[in-house]
Amino acid sequence: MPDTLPDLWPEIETENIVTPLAILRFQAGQLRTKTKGLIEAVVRTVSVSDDSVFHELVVIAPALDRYEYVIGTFKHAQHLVYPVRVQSESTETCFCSTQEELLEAVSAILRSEKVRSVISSLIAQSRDVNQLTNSSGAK
Amino acid sequence: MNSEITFLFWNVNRRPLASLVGEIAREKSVDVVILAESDGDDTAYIESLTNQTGRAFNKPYANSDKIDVFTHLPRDSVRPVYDHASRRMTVRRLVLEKTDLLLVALHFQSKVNWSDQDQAGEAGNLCREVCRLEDEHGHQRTIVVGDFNMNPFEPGMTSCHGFHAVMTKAIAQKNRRMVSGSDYRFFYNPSWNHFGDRTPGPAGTHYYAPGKPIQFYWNHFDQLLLRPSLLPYFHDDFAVLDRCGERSLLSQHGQPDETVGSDHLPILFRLQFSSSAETLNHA
Repeated sequence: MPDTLPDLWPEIETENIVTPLAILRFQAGQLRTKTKGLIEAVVRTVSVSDDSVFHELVVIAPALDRYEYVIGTFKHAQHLVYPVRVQSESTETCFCSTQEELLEAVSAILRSEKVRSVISSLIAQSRDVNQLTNSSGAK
Repeated sequence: MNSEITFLFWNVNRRPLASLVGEIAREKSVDVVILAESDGDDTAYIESLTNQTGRAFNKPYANSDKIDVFTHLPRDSVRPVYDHASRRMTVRRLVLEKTDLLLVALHFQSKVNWSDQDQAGEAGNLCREVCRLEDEHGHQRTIVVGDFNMNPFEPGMTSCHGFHAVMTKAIAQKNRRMVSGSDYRFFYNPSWNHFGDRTPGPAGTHYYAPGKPIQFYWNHFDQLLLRPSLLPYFHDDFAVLDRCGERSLLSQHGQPDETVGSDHLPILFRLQFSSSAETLNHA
């Protein structure tokens, strides 16, 4: 046996690993500020029976009886955060093997015409409801 | 108040059926029309429904691309609650004079692309969402209707991990059952009463006959599920429609005629709220 054995492990990233949940929560947290409090987003997580985890990115309009619109679903194994299956009405279903790929996929969803138009529409309706509430309260 | 409310669900298979849907709405006094696989011509549907029934139909706001809901009820009576375009499900709150309901409409993934196991798994996901929304709204006055792409006897429809929909009112009225320490709510599925020849209507809602060893020919993919708290208001007013006026929706072979209608037959159901509606809010 030689005096020293080689270390066969590759370089392992310990600092910059970001889970899908963290990526989604961060994006969700931005929406309230961006829409001046009119629209919120949350990440809803459920464990499903086949040992996988399911996250939903949900847009909520508080003024519209908390109407919910699910803009994307993200599924990965219970003990393996990548790859993630990304499913959305606004983009093609895809599998992301890294956080960089996931960031790209989430960006495509958030910037899609469908999501923009839903959010614009919810903002407009929320403003209407708020104005109605304010004017009836002022009487 | 709305003493009764009549619903029509139809997977119209992208056929231009606005005129026919309007005729059925007039003939059956339909209040809420729910369509899957519409051709997207909302204006044609609104015009036809309004002209034929004499009631001003509208399409209340929601973001459900795969399911369309039209009604002559005031816009504010059909409020959006939840949309999940990928999951092909939309949830609306029906606000009636003395109560409100949750209306879940869906078009489930087809057997062409999804296995029975895939469908059963997704049924569980959808049902969890329905239970969560019921909890948030504080009641279980829930209607689920749509093209489930599963028969009433399949695991996705019957399993406690799926829709947990049973064949008799008596069982459904037990409300729930425990399985392995967890509590699961029942749905009642009246489609169980509509199989085969000894029914008033056709043997199913969809006919399909590929050369496979196991073949049902007729399928009841288009179904209605009701929570037990709505059963006092459901008097078996559920029908698979095979004609509109004098016009048959079936071919000479007795199968859905796509040259007249769709490859699916429409389903019609009605809830009747008597003067006891006051108590409905507490059901």
